[in-house]
Amino acid sequence: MKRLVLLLVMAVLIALSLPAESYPQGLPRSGFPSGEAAEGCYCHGVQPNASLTVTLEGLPANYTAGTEYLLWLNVSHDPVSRVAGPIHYGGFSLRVSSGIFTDDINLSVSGNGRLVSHSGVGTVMNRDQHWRLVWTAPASPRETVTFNYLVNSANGDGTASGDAWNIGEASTIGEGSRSALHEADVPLLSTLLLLSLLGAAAICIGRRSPLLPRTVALGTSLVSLAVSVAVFLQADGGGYRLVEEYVWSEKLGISLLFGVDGISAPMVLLTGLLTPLTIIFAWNERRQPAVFFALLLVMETALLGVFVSLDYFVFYLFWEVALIPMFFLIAVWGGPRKRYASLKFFIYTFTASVVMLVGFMALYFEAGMESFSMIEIQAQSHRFSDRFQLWVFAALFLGFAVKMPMVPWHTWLPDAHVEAPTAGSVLLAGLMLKMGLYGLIRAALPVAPDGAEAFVPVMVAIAIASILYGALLSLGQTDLKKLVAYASISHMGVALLGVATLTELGIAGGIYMMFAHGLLSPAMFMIAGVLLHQIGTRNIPKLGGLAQKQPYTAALFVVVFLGSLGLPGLAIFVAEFAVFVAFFQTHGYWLLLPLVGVVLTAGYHLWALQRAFFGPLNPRTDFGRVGEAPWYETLPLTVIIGLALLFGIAPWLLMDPVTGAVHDLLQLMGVVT
Amino acid sequence: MLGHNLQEYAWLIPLIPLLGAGLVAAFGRHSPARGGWIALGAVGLGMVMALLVAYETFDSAQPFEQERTWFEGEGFAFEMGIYLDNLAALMLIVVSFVSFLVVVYSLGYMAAEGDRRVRYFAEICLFVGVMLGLVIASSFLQLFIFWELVGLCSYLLIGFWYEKPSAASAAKKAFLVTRVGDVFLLLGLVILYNSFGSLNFSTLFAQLEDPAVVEAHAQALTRATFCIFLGAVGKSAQFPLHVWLPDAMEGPTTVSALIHAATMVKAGVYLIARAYPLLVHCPETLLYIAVTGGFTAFIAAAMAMVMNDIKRVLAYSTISQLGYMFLALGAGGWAYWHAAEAGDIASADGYTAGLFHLMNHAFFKALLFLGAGSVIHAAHTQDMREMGGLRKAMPVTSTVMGLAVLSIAGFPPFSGFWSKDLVLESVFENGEHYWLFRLLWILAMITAAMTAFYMARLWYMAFSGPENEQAHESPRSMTTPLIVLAVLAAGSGAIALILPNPNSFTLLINYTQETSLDPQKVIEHIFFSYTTYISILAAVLGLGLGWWFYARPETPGGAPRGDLSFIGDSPTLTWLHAFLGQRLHMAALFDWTGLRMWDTVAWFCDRFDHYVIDGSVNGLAALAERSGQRLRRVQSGFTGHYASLSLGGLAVLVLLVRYLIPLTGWSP
Repeated sequence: MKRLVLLLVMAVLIALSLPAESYPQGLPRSGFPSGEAAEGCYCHGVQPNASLTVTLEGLPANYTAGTEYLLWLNVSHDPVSRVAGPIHYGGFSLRVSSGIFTDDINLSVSGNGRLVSHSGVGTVMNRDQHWRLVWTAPASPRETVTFNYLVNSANGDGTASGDAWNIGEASTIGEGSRSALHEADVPLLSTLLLLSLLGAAAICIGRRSPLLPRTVALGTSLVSLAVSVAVFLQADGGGYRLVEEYVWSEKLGISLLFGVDGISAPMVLLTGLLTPLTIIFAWNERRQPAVFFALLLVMETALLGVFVSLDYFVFYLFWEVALIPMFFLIAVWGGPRKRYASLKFFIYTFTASVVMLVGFMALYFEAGMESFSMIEIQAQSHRFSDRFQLWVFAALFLGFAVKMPMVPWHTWLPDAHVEAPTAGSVLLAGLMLKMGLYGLIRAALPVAPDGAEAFVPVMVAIAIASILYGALLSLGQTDLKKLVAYASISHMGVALLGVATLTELGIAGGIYMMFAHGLLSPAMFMIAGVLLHQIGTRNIPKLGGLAQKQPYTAALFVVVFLGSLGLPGLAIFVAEFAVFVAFFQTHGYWLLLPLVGVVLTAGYHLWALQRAFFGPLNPRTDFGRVGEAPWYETLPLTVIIGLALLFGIAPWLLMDPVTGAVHDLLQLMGVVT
Repeated sequence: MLGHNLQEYAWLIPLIPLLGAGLVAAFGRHSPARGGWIALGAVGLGMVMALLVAYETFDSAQPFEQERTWFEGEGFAFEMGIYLDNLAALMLIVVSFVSFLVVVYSLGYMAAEGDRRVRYFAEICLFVGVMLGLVIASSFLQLFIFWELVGLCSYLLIGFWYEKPSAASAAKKAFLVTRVGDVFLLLGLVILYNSFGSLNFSTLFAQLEDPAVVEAHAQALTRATFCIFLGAVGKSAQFPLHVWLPDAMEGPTTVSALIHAATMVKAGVYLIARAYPLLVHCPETLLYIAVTGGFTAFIAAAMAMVMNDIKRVLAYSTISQLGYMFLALGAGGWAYWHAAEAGDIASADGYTAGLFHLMNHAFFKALLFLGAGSVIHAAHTQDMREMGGLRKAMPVTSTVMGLAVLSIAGFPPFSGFWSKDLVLESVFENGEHYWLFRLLWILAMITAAMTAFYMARLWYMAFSGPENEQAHESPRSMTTPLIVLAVLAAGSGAIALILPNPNSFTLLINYTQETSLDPQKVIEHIFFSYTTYISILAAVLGLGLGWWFYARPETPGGAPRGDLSFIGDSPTLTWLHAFLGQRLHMAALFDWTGLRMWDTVAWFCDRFDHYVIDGSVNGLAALAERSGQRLRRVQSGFTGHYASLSLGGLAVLVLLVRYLIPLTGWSP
């Protein structure tokens, strides 16, 4: 009986689905509002006809603002399908998103110079027809200009046979604009990506040697650091720099499209900085050092790949690849609950990424560019409906928010951190979390600006919840590493809050926070690592009075703690200040809530400091072997402190490229003009 | 001077001590006095530079400005730089000079600390450097940055003996309580930036000269100034955020001297003086400042009367004296606003009075703390009940302390007398326009008597009575700064007033529309006003009562009677004594909210996170696993099962594509 009902239901459903077979009319997708120019075409055929080739000639890839360009709209008929004999009549209609067409005797220009057409009625069309257009580029260089055109050719016999129409699209990007592509003279980015992979391969070859793996790893990462500094220095000046493109699948529109701008350059620099520091910190790793260091290098490649990819598909690939080395770092070198933590980490973030992938796919099909290129898809964002933008943004936001991670999707983080080895924690907190917010800025904001705007209240609420809840959780922890893990949630909340303001200052502050937190949070995890090495516990109540045993090391610890709590002079303060100013400008006295977080942040840092390092020596713990930390542990901390000071005192070093890029981004989103 | 405008190099003033801090940290271990001499050189050089620059600033009519961009974008810019006016110059002199003397004193005082002196001198240099940086900052943002760093240094120095739990606790408390104020200051800055688009002093002040701008942003201005004052309340230990300062005694006494006289707490007063062009448009804030100042001065003096720890008495005394400064600044600003409203020539005498008191207080409070350090050094205790009879053994210390006591008590002609009188005068004058100031004046007058009383009590308890044979005077490096400070504590008030024109204090430091505030008139006024005699009376009364209760011998030449049994006899007085002794229970309240309450909330959050949020994640995972176990049975191997499943799957897909997805409004 049950089965019968089931069958019946299925039959009904399938019957219902049958009308789906008839497809709706294939409308020209290129930006013509219905009723305008395109309508006359259906009587000449249901779909665009490939026998008619339309190209726009003379359009440069990057235009110069205010310049006049001579363009040719070329139409050619396929000699076979063109019915010989009858005279063909035709015309065209072309719409440009920006700039002005000059009036010409043969053309009619309307719509503030944006729409140019040539009436098809009674006009004889040659087999190869050329129309001459004069277009003046817009005065502002910072935008993508798209040209949508439609050409109609008819033999005038009153039927559709022998008629054809076709559409085309072209675009140009302002010189010096956000989306302008500046090809690389030297393929720095692919060098950067390959370097660490080669290093990893070299390590695998020489894995039996006791010294080789770490030496090779350090050497490779130092070279990468040099390259990433070079990349950072070249990223300033607007648009994408150092662009390289290697077509992977022409059919699907996937290519290895790399490039950096002021938003990704700080992340590349951070990756370059943290990897050698991590390797130095793990200098004495005893358990399978070859595999360990190789994984770190693979991780570096994956992270860099995320930060330099400008193709949704490749971005996603690197995003997921980054999971693998981290999974193994936790699962092999982790603590007692490593199985649980690594699986939770993998499944949780992977599930979220899949939702994000669905968003990417939706974008790919909706844009209809047959390309995964972020630049091309983002140029189409003005055509996406509000509803579509909302859904896509929701999907992408979920994927990114889990990675950041924001409350309430944060619980994988403390588990992963507690079990991960220090090196894993450093890369996880310093770089992997940043992938989330970076992705939000790079992949979600420009493609769904209206969706983002609609999501502002949600983002603000989640950010504030993360700031306060993360800080309160930190206050309640006894495991130093767990404390730092929750602190990361709180700090990333500040960064998200900045981005959620959708202002130049706020987003720049958010990016600054990613960088600053990417320096100091790893230092905090290193401190937890030092304690575990020396004392065998990170449990704060079991510590106490450590400063007496290791005054120099403790001094470093104190500076790191103070930097992490947002003391001016160290990098995090600059970010917090920028975010708070921006947030007040958009949301007024709601700022009081994150400000409570500032006091709480100071509270849990100082309290932990007091309990762990000050006061008398804890009689319950054996401090017999405790002394100053070895050089390979203090050196990374010292370097990080130096960097935090540098970027706390001289924020313009980082802010200059960032603010420029953020301004361009907001222009692309249409938030500012 | 020297063919250069030294003001252009004013950035060296904070930089030299900061570099000194780095040098001490790097090489202190292998240098004489563990970096003490390096610190002395750095702070000394900074002082010379500061004095020269201050001199030049007093000489020039216009504020000096230097600026460069800190970071900027298309729609915003934040700048850093140097802003030198007479106010900054005054602070430069006070801060650098007192700090220098404290460093000299430290050479002797800290001699027994061994290698720890490296850290001590490095931190002291840092402290002096950031305070000097605060003083010459050109924007509120820059001021805030140094403000926080001053807080950091006090944290480090209060916790100097970090192995003592009480010191570690006190350091944390100082940082957190002031941080509460700092957060409000930050909010104030954010409001200011939002309204005026800049945090630069010169830009802001220029904008505020336009009445239309003031009117347009009246509400924001009131809120911003209120928040800024709350920042000062934290830093300058005013009610209700005063609780950290008495605990801050856990640091070395030299640090207390620095915090109380030259750096930390003076930053709050400086901030309010700096924000005067904003404040004079906000009478509500000014009233609040005056009331907070007057009330704090009163309750702190009351608590100082019952404390037995010599440093705690001085700590409450500082809180009380800072209250005077805020009272004067609030009253002065209010008078300025009131006169401007009425269309009169506006002047703010309270501004001059408050800053005058700041300077004098710096000298006599530094002297009191360093003297107390000398006493503690000799008596090996901080409890005044265990002291006594040190007058003969410590002739220098007892004499200079006596001068300081007379000065702070407001006994003419010592410096405290002049400035305290100006403070009271400025409050009194406002009383003609608003009754609240009359009340504050009475409160301040009672406070003056109480001040004289507790200071007399301190001196008599420490120095009078039967002779203490073991104690001996401190070394030269400690007494020399004491003597220098004693000269200033006694004379700085009178000297600063009668300096030949145009260098008199009232001419240099004023906030007025008039071109001059004639010192002669000021002095004449002091002499001929009856309020002056009331305040002298209050001082004498307080000193006399102190003598009566703590020094009047039972027999001539015998031990002091110290008869305080009348307190125990009256239940009200007993309660009051205990209430004051328990610091109004405020410390307990702060401990409760600061630790217990947040601890509980944090614990609750932790449980919530573990059981509810993570619980649901793990629950979901368990559910998935269990359904996996169930679904496994579907793989039965029967073709029929697979066929119906395929059909069902197809149906689900159809449902999804045809009905559910269109519901979302998205069509592929």
